[in-house]
Amino acid sequence: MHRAVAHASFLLLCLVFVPASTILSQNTDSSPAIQPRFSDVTPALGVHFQHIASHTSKKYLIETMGSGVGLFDYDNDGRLDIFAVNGAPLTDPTPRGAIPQKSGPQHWNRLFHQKPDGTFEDVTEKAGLQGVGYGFGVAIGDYDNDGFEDLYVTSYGENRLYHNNGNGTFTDVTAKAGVEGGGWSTSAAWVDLDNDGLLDLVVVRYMQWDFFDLWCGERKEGFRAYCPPDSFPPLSPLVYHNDGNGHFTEVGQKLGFSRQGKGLGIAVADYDRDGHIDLFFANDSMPEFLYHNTGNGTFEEVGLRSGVAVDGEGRSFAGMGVEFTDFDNDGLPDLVITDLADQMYAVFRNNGEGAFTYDSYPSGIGRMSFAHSGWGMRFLDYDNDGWKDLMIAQGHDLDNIELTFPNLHYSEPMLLARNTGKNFVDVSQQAGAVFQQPWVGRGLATGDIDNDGRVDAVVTLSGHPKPANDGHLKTGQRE
Amino acid sequence: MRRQRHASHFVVNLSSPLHLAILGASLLLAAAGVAQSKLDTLLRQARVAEKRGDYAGAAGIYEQALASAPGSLEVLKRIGVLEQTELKFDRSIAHFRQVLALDPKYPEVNFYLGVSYFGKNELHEAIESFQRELATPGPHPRSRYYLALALQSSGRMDDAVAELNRAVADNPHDADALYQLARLHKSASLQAIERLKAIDPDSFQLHTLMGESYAQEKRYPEAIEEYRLALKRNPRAEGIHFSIGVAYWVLHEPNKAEQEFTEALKENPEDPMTNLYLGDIAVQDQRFDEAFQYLQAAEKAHLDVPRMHTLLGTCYQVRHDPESAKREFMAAIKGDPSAAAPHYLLAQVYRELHDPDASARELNEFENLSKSVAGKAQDSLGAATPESK
Repeated sequence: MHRAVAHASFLLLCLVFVPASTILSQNTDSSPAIQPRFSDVTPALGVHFQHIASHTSKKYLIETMGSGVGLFDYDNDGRLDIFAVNGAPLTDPTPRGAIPQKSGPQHWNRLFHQKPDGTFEDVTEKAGLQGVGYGFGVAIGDYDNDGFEDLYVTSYGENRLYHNNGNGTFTDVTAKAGVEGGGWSTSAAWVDLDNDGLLDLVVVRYMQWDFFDLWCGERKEGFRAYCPPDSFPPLSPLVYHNDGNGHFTEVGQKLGFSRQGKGLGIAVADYDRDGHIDLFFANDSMPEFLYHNTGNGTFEEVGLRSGVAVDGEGRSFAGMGVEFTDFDNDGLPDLVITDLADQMYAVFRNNGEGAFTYDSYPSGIGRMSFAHSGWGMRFLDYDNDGWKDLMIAQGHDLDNIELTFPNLHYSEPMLLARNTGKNFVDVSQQAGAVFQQPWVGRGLATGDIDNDGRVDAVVTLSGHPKPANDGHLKTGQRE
Repeated sequence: MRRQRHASHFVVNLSSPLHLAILGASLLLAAAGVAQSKLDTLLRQARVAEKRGDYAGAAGIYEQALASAPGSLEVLKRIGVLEQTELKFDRSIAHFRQVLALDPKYPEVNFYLGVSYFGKNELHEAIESFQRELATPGPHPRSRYYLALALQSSGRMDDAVAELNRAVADNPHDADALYQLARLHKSASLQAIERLKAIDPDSFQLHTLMGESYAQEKRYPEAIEEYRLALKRNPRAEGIHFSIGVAYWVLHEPNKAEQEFTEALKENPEDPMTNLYLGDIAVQDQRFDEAFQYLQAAEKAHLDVPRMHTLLGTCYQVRHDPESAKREFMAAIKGDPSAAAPHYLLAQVYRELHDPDASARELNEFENLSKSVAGKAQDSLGAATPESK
């Protein structure tokens, strides 16, 4: 079974976005009187984005990713706007050492501005956010505290920091800020690591990878598969301290982020309630990392000790998306990590002693996710009952998985799991047609797009030549 | 200085009759040595010509060699080999026979004779020649392999398989012999299937066989289909539900696998593997009491595999029996010292037993073994990295 990859731009939104739900009651009834539904409103809103993964015959792992998406109000007009990350063309074959570059508008990242009437307009060019390289994730945060959200976009080879000028345009300040990065960056998070009031930047990197012409899978026509991450060496994250003058200093090793991982997702929370923010890195097919903030300016990796590094049987899994959120309302952040089919999404319940209990089965998530592969994930209270529910973008990383495992699918419907207060139940079937449609789901962002008090979602699909997997962005609104 | 004195002594004594006789013999030996040296040179030249495909040139040199050493068995053998290379089998056979008439065990000649007969499709003579070669003190290393080929061509499949097995026993890395062995078995298998088809294309036996064949090829959906057809023909056949269960298990469909294993258990309630699979599925599904029963049944049937101990340990842990859990996890580690996961589980048990040092030790071992596995995987990439198309 090949292990998959993902990026997790959706995770980054938690820093800038709070789902617009109001706790109405602590209802533990497993079936709400009225089942809220979501509908696809993408065409009506005028959002036209197509992700291009640039699939090749060589099956470069990079093609399975993408794309990240963010919901944020870049012009502070009170309405959420959408930013989506795109890939770049790949030659077939692509030489080793190459850094793919965008060659035209079809590969641009896109910024969609929400107009007062609720529809969107593409303002990418005007904003100066076309981007460079083969992009994956986006982190949104106001790093200079000027009141406007800035963007950090991760790519293969080189990342970009775009400063929001406050007038509808952005300036690429990457070089000046010293945050180019390098290698394969997947996710990133803005987080004030040292409580100095300035957002620092943590960049998750995947592994030491290049455009190797490696054949994985059976040597039969159509059976060539993407190579698993197990074969590639890991890579350490980059941690940039915000110096406060528009410049950042890389301090990863100094702060204790010394372990090399295969990071795809990142989430932040103060899991032990000691007043210092901690970080969780979702690693693909190796133990997950939980970095505990010691409070003296350094971090210590405690994943294994705290019981979140592997599943309940001591097996590592293909960690991709991650949420670090208190889903049982006991005041302690819990962990949910998406992974590949046959692994079950990992649920770790925070037991309040600095340790976690593997809870995939008792929570109900294990059974409903066994045959699915999850990427972008967000907690949201879609039925406003006070319990955080779970929405997950799904789809296998192998586009020919059905040849070897007919019960697994490259294109999968999204998952909506309702939190009853006791456990989670799969309510996808009742949540609208968008939860019946097979998509190659990847990125996911949630927010109240139309300011009606109900949480909506934006999903990105990985672009693929197959008609059903056209890579279009989907905007779902709760009815 | 000493050499000079010795030479002068030799010259001084030349007049002695004995020494004259010795001198004569020495001169003859020297002449023979010169002739042998010339022959060796010619044979080397002939080989060079052969290697560059100049067979006419090589033949000419061999004629010279034969003229300088009339009746040389080695030259006759080499001429025969050259003729064989040129597919002149009759002439090569004549030369090989000429050699064998003078020395029936001349090295490798029986082998080459057999090859020539094999080339002429005279299989009986070929087989006899290879067998004679094998009876010589130092037979040609490919004799047994060619004997097997000749036996195979003459339809003596069992004898051919026996010879190939002996060839592989002599040299476990003999890829040619292994290839032929695989071909023979495959061919025999296909022939049997064809005969089965001829008897009844929808027979229980044929569907079962096809199911097994697909399962071996990891084509599990097709295997399941065939097994189901087999069951349709013979609903009471034993073992088919188990095979279907395994196929579903491999396809990551535990619910369907469980249904089949449950049916299989009705056929043989004490089958250890069926109980193990059912126990595994029940543990995954958190039905620990049920799992415990299955796993105990597997254990009772003397199954001793690491997975069973790991699962039993998990059950004991849930039953708040850490000592028994510890025992099982330790048994799992003993059964597979390279497995990391049991160390992680054992660490949890030690934590429960309030033994933080032992817990830390097991976690450390878990990490080391995990890194070792990752390192091996990366090493394998290192070997595969050069553009392996």
